[in-house]
This record gives sequence, structure tokens and C-alpha cells, in this order.
Amino acid sequence: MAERERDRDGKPFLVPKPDGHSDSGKAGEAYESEGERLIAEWFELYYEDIHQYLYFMLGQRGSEAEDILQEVFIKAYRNLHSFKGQSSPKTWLTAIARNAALDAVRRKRWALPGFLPHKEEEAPASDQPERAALTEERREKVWGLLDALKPEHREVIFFLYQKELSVKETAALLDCSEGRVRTVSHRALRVLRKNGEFQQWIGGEASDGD
Amino acid sequence: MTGTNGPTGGNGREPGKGLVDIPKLSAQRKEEIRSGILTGIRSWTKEPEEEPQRTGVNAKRRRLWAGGGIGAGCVAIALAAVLTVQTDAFTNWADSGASRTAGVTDETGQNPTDASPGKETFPYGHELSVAGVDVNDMPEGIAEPLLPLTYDEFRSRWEANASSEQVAISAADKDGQTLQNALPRLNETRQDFGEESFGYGYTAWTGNEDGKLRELVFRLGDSSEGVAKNPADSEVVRYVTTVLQPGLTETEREALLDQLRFRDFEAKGGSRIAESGGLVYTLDRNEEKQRLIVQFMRAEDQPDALGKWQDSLLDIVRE
Repeated sequence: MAERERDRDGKPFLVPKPDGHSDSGKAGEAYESEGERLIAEWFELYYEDIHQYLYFMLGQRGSEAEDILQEVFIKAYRNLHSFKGQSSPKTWLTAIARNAALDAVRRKRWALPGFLPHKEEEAPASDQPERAALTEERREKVWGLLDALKPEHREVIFFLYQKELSVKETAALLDCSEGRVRTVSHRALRVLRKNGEFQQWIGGEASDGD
Repeated sequence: MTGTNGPTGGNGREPGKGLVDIPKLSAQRKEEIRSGILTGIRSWTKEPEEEPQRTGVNAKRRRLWAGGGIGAGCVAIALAAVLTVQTDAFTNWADSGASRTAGVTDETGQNPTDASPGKETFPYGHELSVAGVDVNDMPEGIAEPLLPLTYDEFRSRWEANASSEQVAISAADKDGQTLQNALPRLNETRQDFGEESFGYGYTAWTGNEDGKLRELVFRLGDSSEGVAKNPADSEVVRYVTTVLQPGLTETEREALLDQLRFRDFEAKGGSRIAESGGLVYTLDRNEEKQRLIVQFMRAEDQPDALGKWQDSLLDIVRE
């Protein structure tokens, strides 16, 4: 049987025991193995966080995040034997997602020049055209600013400023020291601040609709 | 899981909204992906992972990694040795009184017992090099700080404006303790301030050649459930910004302090980071401990290999 524990967010998760059995799954779902059941449970718990991470890392190619999201959980299943419960499943899945995202970023170099940037599939409804235009402009500007960052800088910015986690939480998810998170964050902010539009589009003191 | 790093979204972004809107998966798309995962899992048959060919390039790369690992290990061991010496030295400084100076001369050849009282530069400084690190083999170059400020200037400003008991230099620790070359080419000064019961103090790291500040770490009071036990902590943070950046307008200072302020709705503990005028402020709450770290940013267009290496050592020491 598996043991039920809780991760950093207080979400319960199952730690696989050597016999590969867990004791819970989605009600009424037929799974062929306990590993399947575990992956399905983790998907329910973490798909949104992992998807957001992948989307952020891929920027204007965010639609690829969905394909990679699928790959991440399949890869997790294939390597389930190596998960010993020493970190939370979220940390482990994040590590798999990081590698997948880095692979995708490397592939970016070979992308077709005529590639069309991904547009939001669920653009916020607005009956104020000016406001909607501003939102879209801001979105494009922010993605443009983030494109200047290396992947390792970008992911720290994601956890600190997109997910608004603490340095401690970010370090735990990235399996590194808090000092490293701070250092990378400072360097990333330095890069971002070089762009004169940083303060307007990301910096906290920018005023609205000027 | 809520915001701890300051307001990040200009142009109308609110705390908790992040930098950009990331579209959520529709329920239908989520189910498609979930189904795709199960299909992928079921179609996968376990095969032994193909062993990569060990080419000459791979072997070379492995050797490089191994070399890097050994090098990093050596630095870590050396640093641990220095810290042990350093800790012992400070302990001895406090415990053994005059006996500590017996038979020891400082860098100028002067016996420490002859040094002026109160200005107790640590006498063993010249002996505290990093064991195992060849000073001739260290990286070179430290870029200029964006805000050049020596420790003496900082200290002078601090004392000149310390009108409240929260920030007055502790009479019992009037000149602090300085350890030269505590890290390669960096001096460390520890100083208590404020009422003794508050437990306030700072550690200043300065370049040992130019005396310019590299980092300041302020020890604040304890926190409980994410709330500072001593309201005076926030006054100390304000005072630090006043000393380091006297030229800020009140509006700018309030904005800076606002970025360093924990909100009631935020997670207990964590960090808030703010950058201003070449300084990076980090307010840390780790369990009960609170501290404010101020790092002096350096120019990016200058050689900085030694500076970056020192940064990595400071990261370790700060932990």
C-alpha cells in the first residue's frame, strides 16, 4: 500500500511503496496499475501549476505547453520507480517539467521564421475596447521583456513574481539554496531593468493607463 | 502561496495576479490531456534505456565535470576550515581577553595589545587565507559598485543620524569586531546596535583593498506567525534606507518600504525583495528569524570574475 502524506501546499499525495500500490484514485476510474492511479491523482493536483510554469517558460509559444504537460506526466510514470518520496511530488514533477521546458526552449532555435505567436485562447472579456487593447499591449510587452532572460533566470522570475512564492518556497521547488534564488533573481531583474520599458510594464510603481 | 515579493504588476496589476495572464486549460482540453497521458502510459512498454555511447567527447566532458566537482568540494572544505577558524577566533576574542594576543602580531607588526583600545581590528587577519586556495590562482576582477560607499562612510552616517535608542550603536560593542580577509579579499565587521534586549546587529562585508561595502546583513528581532514581535523592526528597516539612500524623496522611500512590507494576507515567512539605486534589499523571515540583507550591485560591463566568486562564498556564509 501507499502512504498518504502532505506536500508544501498541504495537498495530500501518495508515496509509492515498493510494491507499487496506492490506496486511492479518482472515484469510479478504472486504472490498470497503481502507478497509473498515482499519476492521475498527481495530474489532478498539479496540472495547473505545471501548465503555468511551462506556459511561462515558453512565452509566445505557450500553446506548446499543453503538449509538454502531457509529456511530463508520461515521463513521470516511466520514472516512477525513482521517486522515493524524499521531495514532494510537486518538486519532482517541476524538475521533470524544467528539463522538458529547457529542451523545448533549445528547439526554439529551429522554429520556422514564419511562426505565428500564440494568442490567448480565453482573452478576458471586456466591453471596454481601450482597456482590452491596453491589456493586450501590456501582455505582448511583458513577454517581449521576458524573452531577454535565460531559462534559469526566467524560471526564478516565474516562481517569485508570477506565482508570487517566497524565496524559500522557490528554492525548495527548484532544489537549490535560497542564496542561489536571490542571486539569480537579482541578475534577472538587472537584465530586465536594462530595458527602459521595465518600470512601465512590470515595475510596481507604474501608473495605470497613463 | 500568496504574494511575498512585492507588487510586480505595473499598469494595474494587482497582488496575486502575477506578471501576465496565463490562460487556464478548458475542462475539455484538460480531459484530452489527461486521456492522452493514460494512453501514453498504457502504450509504453518498459525497455531498457539505451546506454549512450561513451565517445571521447563525452569522456572529456565527464572529466571536466569531475574536475569541477573536486574543485567545488575543495572550496567548500576550505571555506568550512576558514569558518571554523573564524568562529573559534571570535569565540576566543570574547572569551580569552588579553591572553588571545600573546605572541601574535598584526599585519603592521604591531602587537595587538598596543593597538588603541576600542578599535580592535582582528589580529590574526594575515593568517586567515582560505586554506587550499592559491591566491595566485583566484579569479581576477571586481566590477565597481553602482553605489560606492565605504564602511567608514556608512558607519559615520549611521552614527550621525542615530537619534533613537533602536538604532544607536551599542555602548558595550562600541567598535564592533573586524575580521580581515574573513573571505578572500573581503573583510567582515560585526556590530551590535539598539537596546541589548532587542538583539539587533549587523554584519558588513567590505573589499579589503578599497573598503567599499559589498553586503550588509541586519539581524532583526524575532517574528511569530509571520508578524514581527517588535514593532521597532520596521523603524530599523526605514533607518537603514535612510543611511544608505539619504537622497530618496519621502514618496520614493515609502514606495521602497512598501515593497519590503509583509502583508497580512501573505504566507507566514518568506522574503520580500526590492531594488533601488544600485542596492538590492531582501527582507527575510525564516521561521522565527528575521533579517534584512542589502547587496551592493556592481557594473555589468566590467571584469567581475573575482566579484562573482566572492558572491558565491557570501551566499554560503549567509546561509
